[in-house]
Amino acid sequence: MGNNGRRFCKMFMAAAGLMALSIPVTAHHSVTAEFDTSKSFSVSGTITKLEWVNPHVYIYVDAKDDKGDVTPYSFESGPPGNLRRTGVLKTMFTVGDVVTIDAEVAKDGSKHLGHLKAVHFADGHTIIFGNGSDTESK
Amino acid sequence: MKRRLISYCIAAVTSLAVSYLVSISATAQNNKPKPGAFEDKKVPTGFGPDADQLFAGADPDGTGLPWKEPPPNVVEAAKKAPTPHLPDGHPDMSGFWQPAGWGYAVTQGRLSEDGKTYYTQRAPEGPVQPPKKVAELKHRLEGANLPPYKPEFVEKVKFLGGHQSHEDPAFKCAPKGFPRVGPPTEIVQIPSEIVFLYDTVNSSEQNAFRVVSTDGREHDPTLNPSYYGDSIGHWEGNTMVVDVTNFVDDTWLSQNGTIHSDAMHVIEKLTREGNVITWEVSIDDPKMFTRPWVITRHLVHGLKGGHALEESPCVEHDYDHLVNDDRN
Repeated sequence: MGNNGRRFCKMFMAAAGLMALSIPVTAHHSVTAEFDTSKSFSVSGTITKLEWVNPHVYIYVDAKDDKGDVTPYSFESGPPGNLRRTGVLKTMFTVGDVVTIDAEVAKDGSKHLGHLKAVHFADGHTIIFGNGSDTESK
Repeated sequence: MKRRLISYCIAAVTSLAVSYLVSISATAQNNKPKPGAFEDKKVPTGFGPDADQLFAGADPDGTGLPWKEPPPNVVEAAKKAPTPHLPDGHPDMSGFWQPAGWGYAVTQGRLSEDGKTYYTQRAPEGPVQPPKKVAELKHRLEGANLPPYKPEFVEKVKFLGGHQSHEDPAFKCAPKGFPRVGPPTEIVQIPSEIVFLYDTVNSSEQNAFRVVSTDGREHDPTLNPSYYGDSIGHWEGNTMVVDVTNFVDDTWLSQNGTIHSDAMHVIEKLTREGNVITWEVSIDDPKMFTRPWVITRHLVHGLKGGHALEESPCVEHDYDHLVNDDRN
């Protein structure tokens, strides 16, 4: 290994060390202060509103049951700038889209509020918020 | 004959209907960027392994703040570039600077092999705060360079810090204020003033900026106290020295319950050397501190193709749903 190689190796080890110190955050309250990430639920419905604001974006969905009764749900994720940098843009969602949403339950018992885990679109594509346990971690 | 005509008609109507549906679907898809489309515009990821880690590289000196510091070798190399000056003879501070404050925590998402699933690759949080996070919080709350409070304020600060999710004014979209907003992300400079623009998009913060008067005026005693204070700057050689006073007393200095009084006085220094700004804040609060709290960071010029500052409105919805004091 030449000097350059050793230098790279040192930089890499320093980088790895920094990484070990670091944690993922949302820059607002902790997810676990509001949601139980061990419990999920799914809702199918139509997107009625998109709110792309700090500190959390919100996707609002109306779910219709067998009797035709409509229940409004709201789902939150991280800040919009953070999502943009992970490649998730507001334009990937449209009011009127029929979606199935997987979300984590609110700890305070709010039944119609969730923390976004995934949005499944009618055309078969899905956006996963977080890398999920079934994907390789970086 | 009649039957054949009917079947032709059915076929024609069917094919028209199918092509219409296909065109609707195609139009809808064309209007909607596919997941991962944004990967074409890779956002610079700053220094170090901050791909998914807002705090990577942050807080090497234990301030409890998320302000990042680039690796020393990068700083030293960037200092060797020539220092640009404006026609008035002062160093040119203009441009985009990294890694500032909260910015540059970047992960590029990933599209699955079948092209149908897009992963944002933000690591999910577990049901309870993992040991790594607990360790990070400990680091942040027990760092070597925390604000030097007088003994009578220590307990209150500790309580507020331990209940940040419920107590931090910034979590309810109140301005973070200066100096918590951190170093500037972008600087615009003309002879009579310097404007600092802040990247607040990862934050529970509105758009933030400061205008630093450099035309020789004094502080204006008629100004109301404010979140970002009254900033008056002057040059000392290659260093812009900004005197900041007249603050409201309801902001925190970091995430750790670090309150201050209306007597807070900040001296902010920016020294350009090559492509580096050495940014230093000396925060004094004669009512609450035993001595000034001094923090230094290095900012590196550049990021050609870096993202423009984004608008960051803040509307808080979920404060009423918080059930515990878990912290980020």
